[in-house]
Amino acid sequence: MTDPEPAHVTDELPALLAGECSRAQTLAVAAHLRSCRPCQEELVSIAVAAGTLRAAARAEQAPPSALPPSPVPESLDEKRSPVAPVPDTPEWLRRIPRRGPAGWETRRRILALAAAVVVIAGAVAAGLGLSASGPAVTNRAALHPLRAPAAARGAVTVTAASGARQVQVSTDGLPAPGQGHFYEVWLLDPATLKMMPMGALAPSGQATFGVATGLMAGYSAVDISLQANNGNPAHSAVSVLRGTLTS
Amino acid sequence: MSEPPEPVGPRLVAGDERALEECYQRYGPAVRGYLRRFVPTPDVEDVLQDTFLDVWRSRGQLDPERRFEPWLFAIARRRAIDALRRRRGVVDVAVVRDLMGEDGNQLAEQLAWAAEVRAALDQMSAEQREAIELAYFGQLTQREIAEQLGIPLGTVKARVARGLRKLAVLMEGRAL
Repeated sequence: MTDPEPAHVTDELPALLAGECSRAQTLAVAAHLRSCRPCQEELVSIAVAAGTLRAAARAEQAPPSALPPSPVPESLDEKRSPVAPVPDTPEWLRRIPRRGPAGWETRRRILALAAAVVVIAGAVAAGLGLSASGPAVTNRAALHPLRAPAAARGAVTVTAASGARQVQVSTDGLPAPGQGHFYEVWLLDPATLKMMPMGALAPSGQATFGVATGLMAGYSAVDISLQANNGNPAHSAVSVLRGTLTS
Repeated sequence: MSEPPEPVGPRLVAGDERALEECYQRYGPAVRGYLRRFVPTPDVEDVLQDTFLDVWRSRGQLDPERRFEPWLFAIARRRAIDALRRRRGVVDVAVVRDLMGEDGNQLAEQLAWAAEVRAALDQMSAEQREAIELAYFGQLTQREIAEQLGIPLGTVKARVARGLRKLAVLMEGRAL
């Protein structure tokens, strides 16, 4: 901020509350706020909204106090899910108003059976390997640096294999994650910020993951985070690379 | 700027089937996130279905004058407790205690509030919502947002400030 007495400082207030202003900016905004009634009123509104958002983010991102044990591996859990990721309305929801409990159970069994068929088909396809013409590329993403050196880059290639998707991640220029840290790959829906962990990036900066096609459909971006090896499965909120998947 | 969405609570009470789908689209991710904290992963989708089935079945008990989100998360919490009881002996008792105790109730209330915030964000312009989500849920600085979106820092500042003013009006208007 170069103007010592700006007309109003309302646009600076979010950065002030987030601790993103320099010393000079902070003092200039403070001096203005002391004598400007309209900006004082704005400060109240912006503080209320910022506090509300921070509380919401904390609630959404707080890890569970204790993870419930899962009888089967996480990857198998995900494949068992018969429900398309939100925000698409799943079929079972559309059936709620028109079906009673009996129909509901029948529908659920049908969906579970359909999901099992998809999973089995994917497994068979994976077992058979690639088709004669090679895997078809369905999506690509160029990963750009966020909290990473400007030269850091990455590329994602998604290929199809009969109901499943193979996600290949390749990065370049990321610094070593450091003692007790690692890089983790996530699928991301920027609209809802819903995220699904894919797994750790190998020290080589490469990784390949298998994902059921239905699960991929709910995500349109790939994110790589820097994680502490402390057992907390939540995203650390430190994203180093991110890119949008394009067809 | 989006039109303010009609509250789903009164429409559910009136038996509007589309309100149930809107309810799921708006709150489904938050409810799923809540359930994942307590319910074993293979059960999450089933409990999510049970929750929204219960929302529809119990809609006559919903007071349309009261906030909808805490009512929804109270149902989700009850269904999660039922699921854990069915798995007694498999699930860590600490998880059951957390869910049934004050912590579980408080988390449900906090997530209900977060769901209201998400619904309020839907009433903003796409540009304001994007800047605010990157700042507060993506935890990027305003400078990082400007770089990521390829827009001037001043534009980011204006979008965030205007969005926050709008959010304050919306949230205080709901008597929070």
